[in-house]
Amino acid sequence: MLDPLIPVQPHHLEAERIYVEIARRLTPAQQLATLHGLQQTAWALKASLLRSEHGELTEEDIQLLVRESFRDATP
Amino acid sequence: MQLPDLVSLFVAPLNRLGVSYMVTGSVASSTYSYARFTNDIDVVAVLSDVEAERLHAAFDTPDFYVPPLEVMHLERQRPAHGHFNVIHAATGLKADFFFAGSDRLMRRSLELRRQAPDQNGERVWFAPPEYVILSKLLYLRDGGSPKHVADVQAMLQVRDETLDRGFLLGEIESLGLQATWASLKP
Repeated sequence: MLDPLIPVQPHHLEAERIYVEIARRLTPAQQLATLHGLQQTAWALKASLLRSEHGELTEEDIQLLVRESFRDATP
Repeated sequence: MQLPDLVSLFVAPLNRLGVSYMVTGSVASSTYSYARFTNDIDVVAVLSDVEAERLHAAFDTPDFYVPPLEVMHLERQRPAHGHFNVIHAATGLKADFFFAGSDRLMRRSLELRRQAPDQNGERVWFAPPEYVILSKLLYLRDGGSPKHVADVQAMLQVRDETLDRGFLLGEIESLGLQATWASLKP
């Protein structure tokens, strides 16, 4: 995504072109694997932040809160 | 097998370099509120010329697209909003790296960053939630996409009671974001 706060530079356009080229080349299986990796990381980070901010919660509470957050996930 | 992810690809090199950085954008807003899938990560970093060169070297392989080093130096010299993209060729995952430069809000927020490890124990420094909201308000004011509206509203819904109101409202005023802010409040 181009940053609206910055005048468009040639290298930004080049990055955008390469990004689109890669996205077109990926197979559905590759996209699914990538999505799975993103979900694992997002889940872990969310749980980790909750642990650091709410020391009073049990691990069960944390996993429940993360699950709820993903239930309400948006694309 | 470890699946490719935004942290191992783009954050781990920053940790190895030992530079000051914070993850912001949708990765941060979805960690602070409801999950939203995104395939790019926004990172604000303080990088000297030497550190910028080292970071460039970390990505200057066939596995990544990274702009030429001279472009990074030009972007670094901007007083504000200097940035560059790195793209992972095998997955299309992308990072937008922003140089903090002399940007007052970025510098202030870097002092308030907080960390959380990922599933592999990799440390991730996050921008404070107030900065994440402010940066999305700036995007919105300057024509950003409606997804930023949803991100800000989700953060307000989930973190309303824990936000530093003094920081948030003070910066909204000093950045001239009152109208954008008013349009989002429930």
